Amino acid sequence: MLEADIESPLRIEGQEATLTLQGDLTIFTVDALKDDVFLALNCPRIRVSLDAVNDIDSCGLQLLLVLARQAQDIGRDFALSKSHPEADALLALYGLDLPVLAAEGGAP
Amino acid sequence: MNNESALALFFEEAFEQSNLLESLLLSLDMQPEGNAEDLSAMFRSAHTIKGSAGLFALDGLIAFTHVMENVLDRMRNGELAIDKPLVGLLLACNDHLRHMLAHYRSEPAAPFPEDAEHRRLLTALEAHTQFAPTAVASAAPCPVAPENTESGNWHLFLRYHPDLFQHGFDPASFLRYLGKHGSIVHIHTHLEMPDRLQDFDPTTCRLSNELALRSQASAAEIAAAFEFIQDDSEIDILPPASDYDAFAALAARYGGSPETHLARWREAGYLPSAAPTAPPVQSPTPPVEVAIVQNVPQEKRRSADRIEGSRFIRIEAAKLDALINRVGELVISTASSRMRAKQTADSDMIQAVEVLSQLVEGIRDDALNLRMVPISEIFNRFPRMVHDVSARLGKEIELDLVGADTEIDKSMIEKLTDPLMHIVRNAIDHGIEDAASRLAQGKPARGLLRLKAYHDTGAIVVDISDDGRGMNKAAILAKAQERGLLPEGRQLSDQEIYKLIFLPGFSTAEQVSDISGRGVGMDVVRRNIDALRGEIEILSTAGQGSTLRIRLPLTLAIIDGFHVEVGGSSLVLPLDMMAECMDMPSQQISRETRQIWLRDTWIPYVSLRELFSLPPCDGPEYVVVAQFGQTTAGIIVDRLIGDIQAVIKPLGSLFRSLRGVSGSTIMGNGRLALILDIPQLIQLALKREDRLVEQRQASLTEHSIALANSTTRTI
Repeated sequence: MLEADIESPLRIEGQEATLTLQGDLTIFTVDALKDDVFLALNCPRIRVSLDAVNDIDSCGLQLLLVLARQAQDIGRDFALSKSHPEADALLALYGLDLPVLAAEGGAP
Repeated sequence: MNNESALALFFEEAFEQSNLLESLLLSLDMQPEGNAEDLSAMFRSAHTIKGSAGLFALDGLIAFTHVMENVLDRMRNGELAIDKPLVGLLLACNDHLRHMLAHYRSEPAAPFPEDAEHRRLLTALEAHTQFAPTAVASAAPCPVAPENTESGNWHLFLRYHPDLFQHGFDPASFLRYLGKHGSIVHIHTHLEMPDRLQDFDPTTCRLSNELALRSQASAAEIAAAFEFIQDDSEIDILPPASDYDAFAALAARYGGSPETHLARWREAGYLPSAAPTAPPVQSPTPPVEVAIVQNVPQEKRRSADRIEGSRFIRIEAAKLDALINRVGELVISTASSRMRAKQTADSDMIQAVEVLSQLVEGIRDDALNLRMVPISEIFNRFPRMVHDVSARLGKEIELDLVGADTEIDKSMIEKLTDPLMHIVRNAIDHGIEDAASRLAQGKPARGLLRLKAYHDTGAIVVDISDDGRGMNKAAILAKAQERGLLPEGRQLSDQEIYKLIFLPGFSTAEQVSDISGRGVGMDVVRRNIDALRGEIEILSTAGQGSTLRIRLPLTLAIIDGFHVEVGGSSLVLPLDMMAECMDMPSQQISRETRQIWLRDTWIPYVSLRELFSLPPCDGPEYVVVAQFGQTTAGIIVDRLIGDIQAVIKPLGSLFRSLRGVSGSTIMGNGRLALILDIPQLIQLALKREDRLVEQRQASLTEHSIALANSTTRTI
């Protein structure tokens, strides 16, 4: 558990950075995640997995939005690897969306 | 006026506005609650600079002041919490503004190089403007009529406070709550991207929302959603059927270009179909918020314009000097006409000339008054300096400015600023202790520094007082001894000891800081004050603080004088230092100690005949009692002639070192008269008195030794 907590969510393989977020993506966790999240910007392709995220709030969403916008601004390919119901609900509330890879399982 | 001089005028005005802004910011720093008038004045300063910069197309300046103005506007409207960091930011921006002004003054055509500092300040400012418009909707008594909900949508503009997340709120919860009152038919979420990701604090809220809500709810019900965040965040609610002007007013208060906002709202279908140019559609119940938005600033602006329009006319200093010179000549020739009229013994003529000379006197006063400016011109520089210096030294100091409206000759302002700066810096550095040792002595942790200006018997007095440790006599004496500055074998009075600090190369600071203590300066202070014909007095109580008192003549150009004669020569005494004239008493005078008994006290006197080494007078003599500060002294003259207006002409360099004489003047009869320097004369009298006392003591001692010797011998 402890190991999982301090383990970096960022994996870089070749041209692709994968952020595997887990647990809460909220105001309580954004500070710790920030550096890794922005490190991903070094790669041409950025994939974010929210599969293991339980709770997401507007502050957590904001971090994703900043990452997505910055990625777009500097010409990176950003996408969520899969849609996440809670994140989707929040995005819909704000009238926003984030690119999602055409998921293998279900429709985005 | 050609463009160049208009530009020069603009820069002068802009720097003035910037100075005003600074002083207001500093007073805000002391009292963060601020007052509405000052906040408006601050806004106006930035607004004025921006407006004038627009005339000269100084684009960089316009852009920068525009952002400053937005922040100041929000402060004025109570939308921004005023705290030290914000005031500090605005002070830094004001400094930067001066850099920009200086740049454009030297190269009006060259664009300002937007350096890192420029960008940093803009970013910081924009952080305070991104949610620009006024929070008009309040949850409690809502002014909007609830009936007007049938047609169209409510439009909500929600700009959240950056600390919203940290305060435990989530905008999503407000949006969900709104969903209970109706349906959000359109929402636009704006994310304000951070400038640098490194500096991005992910817990600050950078989101804002604009939305259209279809709802039957009342304004109060809608506003209630934001009850807990309305104080910090900016919540604007436009009721259904708000007219185009309402949106336009809102857009105008948003940062950036209003057209962009209006275009976005038009695209989102928020705007009513009425053409923008069409006269505003009168809605059945005009929304009250909109009325507030439109009217208040206009009203403020109107009254501001009125005040500013009638305040000042700018005159070139040289023109003023020419006028004063001419008035000086006028005074002299009027005196001459007056004398000649008296010689004709033509009473009509005499009367006519009397009227004329009264008028000339009036003109003289008016002309001199033109040069008088409030000493606040100097004082205003101090809050910033004290703020900076005390911050650097880690001391907390309250600056109290008293009598800032006291008027002082403009030409003195420039010469007085440096000495005052130096004295104040010294007081902060050496005078006021750090908080810990102050507390240990039972003093409040915050030191007090007071600058006080007032008029006193024809002089302007500036006191610089602190409640610090006071001057250490022993340390001063020791240092003077070490530096070989002490006069041999003389007992010094307190005043004389304190004045040792004005000797060149004197410094008692144990540590040389970058602020003071290098032993240069206090002698320069003295020299500057001397050049203004001023005097410095030091009052100090160990442990309780010191006061440096600078006494300056009221004006440098024309004085009301009193004409006397000594040995056939004309002399002029400044009238405002004269207390009375009387016959030289035959009794009640001690020629030995040179003192006269005046009513109930002995006062020292100085005989001008003696001073100028003239033979003793054979006729009657008169005493002019002069007063200078706390000191009273008599001046013995041969004849009293009467009052006279004296235009001061400086003495040639040959006579500059002459003590007791401050200048010369030309009298009505064309003859020259010396103007006596009463303070110096009194000093002279006092010094001689001291010397006499010493000599007599010495001779008395010698005498008694001799007496003792002779007695021994006799025995």
